[in-house]
Amino acid sequence: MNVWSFSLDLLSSAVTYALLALAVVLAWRTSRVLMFCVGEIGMTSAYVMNGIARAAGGGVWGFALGVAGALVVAALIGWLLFALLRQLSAAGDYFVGTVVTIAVSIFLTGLMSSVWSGETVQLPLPHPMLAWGGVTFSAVSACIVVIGAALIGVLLFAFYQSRAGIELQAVAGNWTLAVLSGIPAARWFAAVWIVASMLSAVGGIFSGVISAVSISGAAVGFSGIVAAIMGGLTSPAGALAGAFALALGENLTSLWFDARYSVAVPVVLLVLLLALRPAGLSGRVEHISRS
Amino acid sequence: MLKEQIAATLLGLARIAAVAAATVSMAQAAQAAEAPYKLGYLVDASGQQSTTLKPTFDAFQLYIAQLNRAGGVNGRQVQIVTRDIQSDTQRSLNAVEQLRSESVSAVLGLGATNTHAPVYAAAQKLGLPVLASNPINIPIVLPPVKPYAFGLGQELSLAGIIGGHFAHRLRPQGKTIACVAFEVPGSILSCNKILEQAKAEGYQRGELYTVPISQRDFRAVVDRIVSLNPDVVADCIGREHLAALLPVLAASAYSGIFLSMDTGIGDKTLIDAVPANSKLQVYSFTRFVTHGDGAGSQASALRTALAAAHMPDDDASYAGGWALGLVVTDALRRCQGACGPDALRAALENVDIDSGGLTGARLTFTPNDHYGPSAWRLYRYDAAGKSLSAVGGWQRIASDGKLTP
Repeated sequence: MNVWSFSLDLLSSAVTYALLALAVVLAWRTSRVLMFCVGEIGMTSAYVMNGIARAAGGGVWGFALGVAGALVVAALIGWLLFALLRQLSAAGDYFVGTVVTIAVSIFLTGLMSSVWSGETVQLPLPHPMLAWGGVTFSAVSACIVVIGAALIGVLLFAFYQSRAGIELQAVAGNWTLAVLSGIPAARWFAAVWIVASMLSAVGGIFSGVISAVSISGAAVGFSGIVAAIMGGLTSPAGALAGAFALALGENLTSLWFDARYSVAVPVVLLVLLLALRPAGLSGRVEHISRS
Repeated sequence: MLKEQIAATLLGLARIAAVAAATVSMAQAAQAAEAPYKLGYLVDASGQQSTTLKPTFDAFQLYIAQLNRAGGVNGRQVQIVTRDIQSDTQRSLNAVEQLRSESVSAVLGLGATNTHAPVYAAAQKLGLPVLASNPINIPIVLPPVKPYAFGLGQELSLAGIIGGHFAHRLRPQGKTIACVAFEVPGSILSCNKILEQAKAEGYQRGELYTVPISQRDFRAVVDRIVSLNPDVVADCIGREHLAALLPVLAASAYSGIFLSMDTGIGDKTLIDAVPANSKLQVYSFTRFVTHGDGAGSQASALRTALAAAHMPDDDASYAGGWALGLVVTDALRRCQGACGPDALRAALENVDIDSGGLTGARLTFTPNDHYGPSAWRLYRYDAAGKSLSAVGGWQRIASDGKLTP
C-alpha cells in the first residue's frame, strides 16, 4: 500500500468533513441552531455546478463558472435560511430553528429529485495520478487538501483575528449586548448563514469530486455534523479535530478491517466522547465553588 | 275462468321478470367483459432507488400505452394502477393491501430487494400473484415454486453464477477474483456466487469486499483491491456505488478486468464513470439487450417506442420493461372469465413466448418453475468509441443454476 497516497486521501476526507463541520459550528455559535441541511446544500450546489460547467462546455472556465454558480445558489439558500430563522428567533425558540433546517433539507432533497431526477452524475473533472519523489498520488485529493486547507485557514484567521470575526464572536456571546454596543448583529447573522451555506457547497462539491453527485451523497453532511458535535459544537478547532478523527477512523477501518464497519465509526466515536469528554473535544468543565 | 286468467297473468309476469333478469345479467356480463384488466404496479418513482428501478416501469408504460392504442387484449383495455413505494417495506405492504381492495388481478414491479420477501408473503395471504420485474429478483422466485411468486428480472444467485462464469471466460488463466458488494443480503449472495463459480472453474482465491449502502468514498477499498491485484474485479452494487467506485479504480494502479453486473445501472452511468484514458478493461453483463443490441420484432418495436418518447436506447431495463409487457399480454390473452387473481396466476404458469430479440431465451413459466430458463450476455466497453458491444453469444442458465450451452 502507498502510505503517502493513503494519507493524502485521508486528509482530503478530513478536509471535506471539516468544511461541513465548520458550517455547523458557525451556525450553532451564532444562532444555537443545529444546521441539519449541510449535506443537502452541498449536493444541490454540486448538481448546480455540474449543470453550469457542462452547459459552459467544460474546461477550466466551465469549471470556474460552475463553482461560482454553485456558490451563488448556496449563498441564496443561506440568505433564505437567515430570513426564516430571523422571524423565528424573535420567539426565542431555537429548537424551531433546527426544525427549519430539517425542513430545508427535505425541500432540497425534493428539489434534487424533481430537477435532476436523482440522477447520479460525474463532475466533469479528470482524475489523474501524479508522481513526485517516487510517490504516486491522486491529483484530486491533493487539490482538495490544498484548496480546503487554504479556505479553512482564511476562515479561522477571519474568525479569530479580524475585526469582523471579533464582532461575530461578540454577537455569538451576547446578542443584546452586541447590539447595544453598536455591532450590526443582524448583518453578521446573515453573513454567518451565507458563509455556512457556501462552506457546505464547497464540502458537497469536494464530496462529489471524490465520488459522484447524487441525492444520497447528501449523507456526507452527517459526517460533518458528527465532527462538529465531537468538537463540542462551538469550537472551530474542535470541529477540525473531530473531522480528522472521523476520517482517520473511517479510512483505517476500511483499510485494515472491513469497509462495512466504517459506518459504525461515527457512532463509536460519539459514544466514547460522551463517556470520556461529554463537553466535546474542545469543551472545558468549569468548577465553581463558594466559600 | 278467473283462476285461469290470474294464472296466465302471473305466468306472463314471471316470463317478463325472467327476461328482464336475463337481460340485466347479460348486460352485467357484457360490462364485465368490457371492463379493463386491472393490474397493480409497485415502483420506486421518487425514492433512493428510483434511478435503478423506474426505467423498467417507463418502458412497461410505453408498451401498455401502445397495447391499449391497438385495442388492448381480448378487446379489453389494460389498466395499470401504480403505487410509488420508494423501496420502503411498509409503503409496499400498504400498497399491496390497497391494490387488493381495488380488485387488481396481480401485482407487478416491486422496489429494492429488501421489500420483496415481505411483499410476496403479504400477497400470498391475499391470494394475489406477484410478478417481480427487472432489474433484480430474489431467489424466492426460483423452484421449488411458491404459489404466487413469479420473477422476470435478474435473479441474484443466477446472476452470480453467470458472473463467475464470465470472469473465467474473460481470464481463463486467472487465479484471483474480487467482488464488491454492498451490505444487503442479495448483493452479498450474488457476489458470493460469483466467487464460488469462479473457483469452481479454476480460480484459486476469491475476496469479497462489502461496503455500507451509504458508502461513497471507495478510495480505501480500492487501496485494498490494488494490494490484492486480482485478475478480475466483479461487482454487485447500485448505480451510485458504481459511479463512485469505477473512476477511483480506473485511476489506481489496478489494470485488470472490471466486470459489472448490470443491476439496473444503465449504460450511461457505466460509460460516464470510465475515464477516456482508462487502462481498465471494462465489461458488463445483463439478461436483456441494450445499446442497440438485439434483432427481432420486439427489439425493433421497443426502439421505435423509445425514439418516439425521446428516450435514449441506453438501458437494459427498457428491454426488461418491454418484456414484462409481453409476458402480461400473453397471460391476459389466455386468462379465463373476469380474469381474477387465481385465473391470472394459472395463465402466468403457462406463459411461453418468444421475446422478439429482447433476450436470448424464450420467456417461459411453468407450474413448476416461476422464473424459467434465462440467457445472459456479456458486453465490452470501448472507451474510445464510448460504446458497448456484445461479446460472444448468449449464455443460458436453467433456474436450478445449471449452465447450458
